Amino acid sequence: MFINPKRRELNLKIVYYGPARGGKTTNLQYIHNRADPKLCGDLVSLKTHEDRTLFFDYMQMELGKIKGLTPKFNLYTVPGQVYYSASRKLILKGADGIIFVADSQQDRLQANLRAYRDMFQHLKELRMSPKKIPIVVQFNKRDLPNIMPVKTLRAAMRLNGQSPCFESIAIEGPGVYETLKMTIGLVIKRAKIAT
Amino acid sequence: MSLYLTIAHMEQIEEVLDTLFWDTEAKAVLLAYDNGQFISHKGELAERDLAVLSALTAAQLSATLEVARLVGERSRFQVLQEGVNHSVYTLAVNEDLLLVIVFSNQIPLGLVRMVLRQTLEQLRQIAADARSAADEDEPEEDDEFARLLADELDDLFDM
Repeated sequence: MFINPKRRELNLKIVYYGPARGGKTTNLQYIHNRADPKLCGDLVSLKTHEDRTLFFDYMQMELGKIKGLTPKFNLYTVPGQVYYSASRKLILKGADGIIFVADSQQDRLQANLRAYRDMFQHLKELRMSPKKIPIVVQFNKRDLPNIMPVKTLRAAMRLNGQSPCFESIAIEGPGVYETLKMTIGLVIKRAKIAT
Repeated sequence: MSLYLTIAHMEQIEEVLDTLFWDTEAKAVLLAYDNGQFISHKGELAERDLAVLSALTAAQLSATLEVARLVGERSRFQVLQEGVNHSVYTLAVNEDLLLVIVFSNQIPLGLVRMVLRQTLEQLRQIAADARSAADEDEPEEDDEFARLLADELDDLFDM
């Protein structure tokens, strides 16, 4: 988090993390398409010719002034493919909050677990304590037929009752804003903001 | 982030960037955190591009430093992008900050590097002051801010 005292801006970095093709970029695209263009910057995507995220997607969204401060949210996705592990670590650096986008399909469970472990390993290497960074899990693709029950997913990922989770269909919108709003709320709650 | 920049720090930063801008006849200079968050700039950059430029250059520099580490290069790597009319020079100020300078190809790189020496020294000093200020000041939590922000988000998302 960075408060620019001269410009009276509150800057937060939120990172969407998760397995490949889980819906991280789709979350950002949905927000970008629906949010007021006046409050939303360009969606920048560094992707391969096969349309997969190569380095990251990025967009900035801002709100109106609150107590003299303009909140600005810098939203990033990481590339999901296993071999882009180094890139994921770079993007996680300095994150104020993380949204883990899990793919609810049965055959993606191992990919979810691998990505989840990979995320904690990177946080450890970056000396970022998971206890100090809000992590919200989003179970995406709830509209598909071969999905696992949320209870089973939570148990597999060892999420306790306190861990905030949302079901979503990112391509259509349900769960997208709710996840982001919860994450921002938790980040603000943990940060001490003196206006 | 371990820096706590006050208005006084921001004014010092603006002064340093201003000197760099004029001494190198730069098109633009920009200071950002290494996690991609914009801090300050001087010159011909559109307001709406500042955040994206900060995010992209921070990622680019991070990737370059990682490449340096993998090939066993210990010295600080810098990124120089040479265009037809302008070049973009990106370098780490310290572990927290990065500096970007966009300058005309008619200006020798040697001159830019020479001016940068003093710029980097001054920015590192400001960062050191800001770090000690961060250790001393512990701001109080503002619950009302969190509540107002939640309301604003509800309006934005129309929930």
